[in-house]
Amino acid sequence: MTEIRLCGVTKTFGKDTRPVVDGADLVIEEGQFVVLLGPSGCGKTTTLRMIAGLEKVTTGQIFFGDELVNDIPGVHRNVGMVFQNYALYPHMTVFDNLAFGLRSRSVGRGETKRLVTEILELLELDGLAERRPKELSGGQRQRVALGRALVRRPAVFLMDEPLSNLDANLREQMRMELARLHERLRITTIYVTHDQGEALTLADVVVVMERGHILQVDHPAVVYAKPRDTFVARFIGSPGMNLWTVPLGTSDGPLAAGASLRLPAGMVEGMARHGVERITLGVRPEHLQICEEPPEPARAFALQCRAEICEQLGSHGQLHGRLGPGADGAPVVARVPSDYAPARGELLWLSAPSELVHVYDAESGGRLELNDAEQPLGIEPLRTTSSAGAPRL
Amino acid sequence: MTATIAEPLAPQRSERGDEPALPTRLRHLRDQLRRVGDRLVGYGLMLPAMSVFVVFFYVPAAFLLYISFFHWGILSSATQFVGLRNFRILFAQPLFWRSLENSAYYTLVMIPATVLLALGIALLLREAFSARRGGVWRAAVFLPHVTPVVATSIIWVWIFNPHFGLANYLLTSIGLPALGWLESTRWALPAVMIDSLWHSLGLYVIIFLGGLSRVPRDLIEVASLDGARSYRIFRRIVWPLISPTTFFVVVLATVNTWQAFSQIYTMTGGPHGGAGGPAFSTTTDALLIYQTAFIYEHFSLAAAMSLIMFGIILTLTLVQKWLSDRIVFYR
Repeated sequence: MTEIRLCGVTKTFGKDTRPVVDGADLVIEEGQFVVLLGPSGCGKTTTLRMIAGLEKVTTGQIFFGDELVNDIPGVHRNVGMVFQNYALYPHMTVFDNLAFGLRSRSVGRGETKRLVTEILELLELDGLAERRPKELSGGQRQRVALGRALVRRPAVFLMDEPLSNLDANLREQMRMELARLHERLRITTIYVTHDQGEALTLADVVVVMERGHILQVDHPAVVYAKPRDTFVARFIGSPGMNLWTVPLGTSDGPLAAGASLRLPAGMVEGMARHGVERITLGVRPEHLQICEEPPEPARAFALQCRAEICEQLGSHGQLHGRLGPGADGAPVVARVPSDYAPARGELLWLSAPSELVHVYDAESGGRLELNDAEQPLGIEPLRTTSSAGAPRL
Repeated sequence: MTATIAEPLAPQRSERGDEPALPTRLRHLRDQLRRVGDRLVGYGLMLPAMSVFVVFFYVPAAFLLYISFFHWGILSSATQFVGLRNFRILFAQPLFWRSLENSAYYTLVMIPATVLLALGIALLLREAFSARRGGVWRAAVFLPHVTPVVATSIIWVWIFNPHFGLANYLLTSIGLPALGWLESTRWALPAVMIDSLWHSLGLYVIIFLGGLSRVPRDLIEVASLDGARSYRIFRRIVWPLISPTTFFVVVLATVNTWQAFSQIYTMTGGPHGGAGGPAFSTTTDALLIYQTAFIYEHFSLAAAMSLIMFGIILTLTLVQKWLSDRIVFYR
């Protein structure tokens, strides 16, 4: 087990001047399960490959413990890696796949057999040792790939979207198995995924990345509850957070466009001092509640919405609508009870407790923290910006 | 009298609704005609290619089979069935056995040399050059294959000239003795082999590059993380995974090598009327067939020899196929 540190790690390919990973700083503590999460092309796999020693670091340093490993090839870093498509040797049996690494490192025949048998039992693969990969199901292949990475007792366990080729049920099952395995072995693990479900359920720490930058490093619950910027807010959660960019006003109570919010006085003053004129408000769909009448503006955030479609997802419904009484307001999504079915075009009020409303600087996209002193602040939703089109600055 | 109406009298609309439905029997007939029409169009499209194939391949092959059991001359009208006499004559000829020996020697050296060199160059091209820069080198390696054999063989004759050729110049410049090359019974066939290798390698390199490109890079990376060194990765991962390509190259090279003619003919004095020398040291099966048919005009004997050559190549291919079923890994 090893602590891993990334110090200003940057990676560019060829003559391309735009870095794929740009100045990544990260500390992964010994035994932690860290998930690199982000959309395709955000640099998470490249980061993992640099840690594995499969890609050279352009600038910056990677440490395993106290040892600088930039120039140490992957074979000497004692890492085990699971690839997205399993990368099992198709011409070898399960046993030979697991034993290949041990034989390559000149482990004795008896010891090899003992270690492989141990892993076969651990991953419940006994009985499949003589089969070839093509004779295995997706889940079994996945377990063989895990076993091959584990059999050498690596100090660091790297996984590159290992569950993405499995169907939904199997993925969930394997997710639990991975969690159990890590609980048992406590090997420092770095796991790459674009699936936030995997990230939030498996990780001790989630690292959210976008366009080569690390945006947030936090416990999954914190990443969900306090996204550090509008990208994270939009990316985490399914569906992502509703975001509306609005000008900062001074009036109180529900406005003609149908929204009101109380912000702390200190914050308003601070924003005014720093010339903040526009903010981005965010509310998670699951925190919006339907109410018959507009709530007291002093107590909650509320907005008027024109219903468009209500998707039924079994356990709940997902209401898609437009902000304000007009038909061209910014989109809004709310989680509603499964038996709720508003008519298309119906006007309704949605509200959320003030403490569940997130406020971001519209220019930088950074989070603005509320404090206790509150002061009414009127806002007017813009019709031209939406959660999808909220500016990323 | 009552009539049973099998088909509905009222015109029906088809499922598409744009034409009245036909009675079932007529509909079947129409479908059958359509199917026949489709087939005729298919055969029609194949006809030009098939005609060339039939006229220049199947008919001569059948005719060859026919005359190998007859006494037949190109200008003679008297064709006489002789059974296996042509084959008996051949088996009694030392030159026939010598030609088989030369062909076997030529093939046995050429096949491993082809596989080793082509695979080596393909690995080098794959590892050493990026896709863009590699394109120039791939073209450079492939170019000899598309140059005319006769023209390049004439150049190789100059290179192998024992008195002023480049080959001996290079040998002597590194302190090795000069060789007689095409004038030596020992070195003439190796000289032809060098020319053949140079000429044919490009094709096999490209085939191997295709095979190598199908080896997933993930497997190489995971093997390197597993601690395998380059040779072990090649031996245990790459080599088994490209075995279908290697098998294909071996079969193709066997057929091409056993049939090699142009370079041997050109390099060993064919244009001057004396191919296959010195002292029959380069007289291979294909060359002897040519000489028997078109110089000595024993067409029936040449046909019998061709049949034997066909049998040998077929046997070799079947043996390779049998072996491949045991050692080649198909995914």
